[in-house]
Order: sequence, then C-alpha cells, then structure tokens
Amino acid sequence: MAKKILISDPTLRDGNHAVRHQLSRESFIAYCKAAEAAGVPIVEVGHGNGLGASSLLVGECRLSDDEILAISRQNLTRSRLGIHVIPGFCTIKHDLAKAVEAGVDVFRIASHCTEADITDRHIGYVREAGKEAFGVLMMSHMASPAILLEEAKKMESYGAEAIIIMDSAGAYFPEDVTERISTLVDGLSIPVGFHGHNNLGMAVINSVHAVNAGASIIDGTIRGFGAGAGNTQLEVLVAVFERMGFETGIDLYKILDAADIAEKEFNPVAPSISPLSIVSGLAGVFSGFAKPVGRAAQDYNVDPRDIFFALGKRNAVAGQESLIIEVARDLAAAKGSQLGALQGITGQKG
Amino acid sequence: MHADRYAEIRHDCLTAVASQADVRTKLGFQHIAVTGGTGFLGTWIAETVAALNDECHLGITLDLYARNTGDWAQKYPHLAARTDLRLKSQDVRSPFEFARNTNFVVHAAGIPNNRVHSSDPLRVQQTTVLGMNNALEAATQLDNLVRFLNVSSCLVSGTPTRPGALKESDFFPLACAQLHTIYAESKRAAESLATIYRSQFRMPVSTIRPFTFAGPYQELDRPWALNNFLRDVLTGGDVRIHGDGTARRSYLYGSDAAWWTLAALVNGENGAVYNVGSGNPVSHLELVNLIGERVSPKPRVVTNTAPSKLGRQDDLFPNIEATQRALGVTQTCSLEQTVDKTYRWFVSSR
Repeated sequence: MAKKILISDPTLRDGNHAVRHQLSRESFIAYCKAAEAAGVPIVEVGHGNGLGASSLLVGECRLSDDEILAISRQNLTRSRLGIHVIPGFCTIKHDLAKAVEAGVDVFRIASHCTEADITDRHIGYVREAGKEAFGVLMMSHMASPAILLEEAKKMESYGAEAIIIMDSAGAYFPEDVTERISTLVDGLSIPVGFHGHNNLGMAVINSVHAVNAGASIIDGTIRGFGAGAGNTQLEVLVAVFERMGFETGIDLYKILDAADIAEKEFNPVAPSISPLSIVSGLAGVFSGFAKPVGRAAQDYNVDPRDIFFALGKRNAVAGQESLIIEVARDLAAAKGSQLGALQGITGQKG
Repeated sequence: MHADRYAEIRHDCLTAVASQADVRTKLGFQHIAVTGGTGFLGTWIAETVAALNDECHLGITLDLYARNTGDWAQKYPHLAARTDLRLKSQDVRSPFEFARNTNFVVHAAGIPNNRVHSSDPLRVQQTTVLGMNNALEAATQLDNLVRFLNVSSCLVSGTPTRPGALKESDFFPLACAQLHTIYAESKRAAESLATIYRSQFRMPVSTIRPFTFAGPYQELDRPWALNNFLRDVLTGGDVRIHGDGTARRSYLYGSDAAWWTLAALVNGENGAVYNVGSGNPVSHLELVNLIGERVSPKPRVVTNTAPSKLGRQDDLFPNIEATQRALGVTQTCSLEQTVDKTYRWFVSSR
C-alpha cells in the first residue's frame, strides 16, 4: 500500500511574506480555485504571520482577516481551509472565535520551538469548538531533538492532533531533519509534519528525508512562494513524491496548472535563493527578516550579512523585528568607533 | 431542568449505596475530610453523603478542602448550602490542620489533567508530594483517625507493555526525568510516603488507584477520550479518534466511584492498594458507536493515527477482582447508562 502523505499548502499565507502581505482578493480567489481543482487537501491562508498579525511592526495586510477567510471559504469546498495562529498576535476572543465562525477547518497553533506553553488555551479553545488543531513549533533548528520532543508533548497534551516542525530559517541539512523527525515520531502518538524553507537549497530533499523518517504531513507552496528564499516548492514535491510512490491525492497536471496560474496572477518571479537568504540560512535567522534587514542595512550603511550573523548570535526570532534596527545601529556604531580609533591612531602618527 | 438532573444523581447515589449495609453503618455519625474536595470524586462523595444523610439519616459530616471553593459553591448551591457540609479553602502545598473531630481522611488533592502536567510541572509535583506530606502530617494530629485513604492513580503502574487488565501488583517501565511523567512519578512518591507513615508511625493508611471515571461533574474540556468524543458530537462535527480506535479504556460512573471510595475508607486494610474503575473495557471505536446511537444523524468517525503507531494495542483498564473480593463493591451503572447520563449532563450544561 502506498504511503499516504497529507499535503498542507501555505501559499496564501507564507507567500504573503514575499509580497509584504499585499496579496489581492483576486489572487486569493484564483489560487483557492486552482488548489481545489488540483485536490490540495489543506489550503492555509492569511497574513504571513497568521491570524491577527497585521500591524505596523510586522507589516499591514492588504486584506483584513475577515475578508481573507470569507473569500477563501467561498472558494474552497473540498479542500480544507487552514490558518496559522501565533498566540500573542491572535487573541481568542477577537480572532479565534471569528475564525471558528468563518468556517476554518484546520487551526495550526504555533509558537517558538521552546515556548509551547503559550499554545495551551488556543489549542483548548479550538478543540472545544470541535475543530482540528495542529501544533506548530517554529524555528525548530534552535532546539535539540530532546527539547523539541518535550515541547511537542506539551502541545499533544493540550489536544494538538498533529505536530509540525518548521525550518523557518531554512537552516537544516537532511540529517538534522531525520534526527528531529524520528525523535518526534518515536515519542509522540500523533502524526508529525515538516515545513521547509529553501535558503540552502535543501527544502525538497529535507521534506523527503522527513517522510522517510516517519513524517506524514508535509508543507509546500506553489513555485516556492514564501518568506525569504521561499518554501518547499509544492509542484516539485508532488512530482517527487509521485516518483517515490507516495500518495498525496494531488493531481500532478493540475498542480502544474496552478503554478502557471500563480505565475500569471501573483508570483511572476519565483523566489530565488538570494545571497542574503543563504546568509539567513547559515545564520539560522528567520527568512522573513530579509526585507527589513535589507532596509536597515541601507539606513545604517552596514553590511546586511553582518546584520544577519549578529541576529543569529542573538537568537533572534520572528516578532523581534525591532532587534534588526538595534543590531544595525550597534554595527554602525562599532564601525564608527573603529573608524574613529583608526583616524585617532593615524592622527597620532601624523 | 436542574432539579431533574440532581434528582437523577440522588437516585444514582442511592442505587450505588443500596447493597452494603455494613459500610453505611460504619459511616454513621462520622466526620470525613476530603482534600481536593471540589473535584469530580469529591463532588460525588458530597452527593453520596447528602443522599445517605437525607434518606438514611446517617448524620455524617463532611469537610471539603480545596484551593478555590467559591466557584464550586456558586455552581452547586444545592450542595454548598447544606449544614452537614463545610467548604474549607486550603492549598495542600502549605501545612494545614484537619478539624479535630475528623475520623476519616480521603486525600484526593491532585491535578490529573494532563494538560497541566507539562506546563506547570512544579505545581503538579508539589501538589502531589508536598500535599501528601502535609495531609499525612495533619492526620498525625488526629486522635480519632480511623483511616487515611490515599487517592493515587492508575498511572503509577507505568506504561503497560502488554494488552489486558492491570492488577494492583502490575508494574511496567516509566521514564523518569520527563515532563510528561511528572504526575505518575509524583504519585509513586506519594504512595511511598503513605507506606512510610503506615510503617513508621503506624498510621492506618490505604490506597486506591482510580482508573477512568465518567458522569456528571466532569468538565468537558478535560482531555479524556470520552469527553473528546462527546464534545465532537455536541459541536456537530466529525468524531476524531486519537489513534486507530482500538485503544481500550473502561468507565466507572461517579456514584459508583464515590461509593467504592467510601467502602475502601471504612473497610480498607492497612497498606492495601485497591484498583477503582470499571472492569469492562471498551474500545474507542465501540465507545464512539455507543455515543453515536444517541444522536441523529450518526456522526462520521475519523481516526487520526501516526502511521508508526498502527497495530499497537493501547489498553488501560483495571483488574478489579481483588477490590471486589476485599470491599464487596459492584458496578451499579452500566457502560451504556454511564454514556447516556454523561451525554445528557453535557447537553443540559451547554
């Protein structure tokens, strides 16, 4: 019997990062229809940072959560509608309750990989509403396999029905994925999934290794549309899984059609692995930082690569965008004082 | 509506106590202290004592100790307003005293909710171990103590490596230094403390090990399988089974659980351990079908199984031969009745 893989497609959520959360109503409609036609099981939508995240700090979304959920729900009948939820951005009363009302099927409740405790009430609320709740551990490369398991077990005890680990920085190599996924598969009694990013060109092969290690849920986005260097490219993933004999339930031709639609509609240039994305992956910093890092580098006249490596040393995570400015300022100051010292030395000599 | 449901509970209690005249006689005019008194078991003990006093004129007095007695009093004024029952606000993690005239102690304080185990392990551990220590110390001050009953947990037996019923003497591996086993490890430590006080101070201590209880006064958000299934049915969605549906549990109704506890309190032997639970196992799939018979249309059942866990028999139910032989107790409420009563309680509570 072919191994079944559940594909979850966050094109209309993670992809929003790639366009500063400016995906249009027409793009949501076109892609929902294309994904549904291809038989994508879960289509995840929303602001790049999830429900309730639209803000000056992490970027204002062109459409409100209400609009996104309503449009997507109207255009998804067979595919399940999913959302990304980070407690803190997303409140239970104002955001989660509305999402339940709007007919969301799958709630992916996420936290930084060492802070699963904050998901307790959100997972509980979703389960109480009779909906499906997955636990998501972001930036999972920052925790050891044992700690990841401990945090995942917390989510399982809160009622999570699957655990997804995210390689938010695209920092993993295949053996890292194998080690973490197999630890989770052995220690949990619920399905385990993997969400890759492509900073080091490893997203597809990492996803294959995840499946070989026992993962049964894999995330992928059309044309890799996503934060930074992009996500695991969905149509490639479907093709590779088909070749490997895994069953995804997705029609290959139709998902290739969806890639064409995405190209015309909202993603004319597929994400590429920019030099900065490579540094982001090496530094283990969230891919979505690429744009604000680029801006800060210009503003403070420092090398963006230095900013990324400095952020990596500080273990910066998504939501700490203000740290980018701080780091850039510190680097500029250090550069200034070095220059000053150099000028001083030169002056003395002169 | 509420009067009806409490009348049914009164009837259930009287059915449970009907056959054991000797236990009723021994309880007559005794003063009982229950820690964790506003929990499921404590509330059912309060209902049972109320029934015995009102219908059999036994003159029992009851002190219920709990951290937060206010909410309970508001929710259940028919119990809180009784003159034979006193509510005492007490966190068992701090030293305390029982009323001087206390004859029996049921130490039921604990946090069985596994959602708390990994999030607040220190509170779980301290409530169990420090709480046990403080309760035993308080009991040493009692001149008229007849019995101290330690309410332990079936989880002290570890993780069964074979299918079938668990006897009191069965022990299986239990990982230490893991957050998710803190509760079970703490309960083991509490049983050791009970042994120490029995041996070193000749305190009359017995232990019961509860398995799964069900019925009114259960909170729907507690993460037990029966609650999950009922909640899914009540919210009108698919019933999602965690696992492949073959896991087996048994369910003892609240009135039987309370009566078996009182029987162990008056007829228990020093140092003895008694399993308290139903001896009739039922698989999750069978249980969901039972629940499904109560609603129309019958809910769709979805299993959620990690592929690597397929085919593993997950059993947790007691062998109750020793308990029945020693205490003479019987199950008066069948599984079908238990499911029906629990379902109707939740329907009327919504």
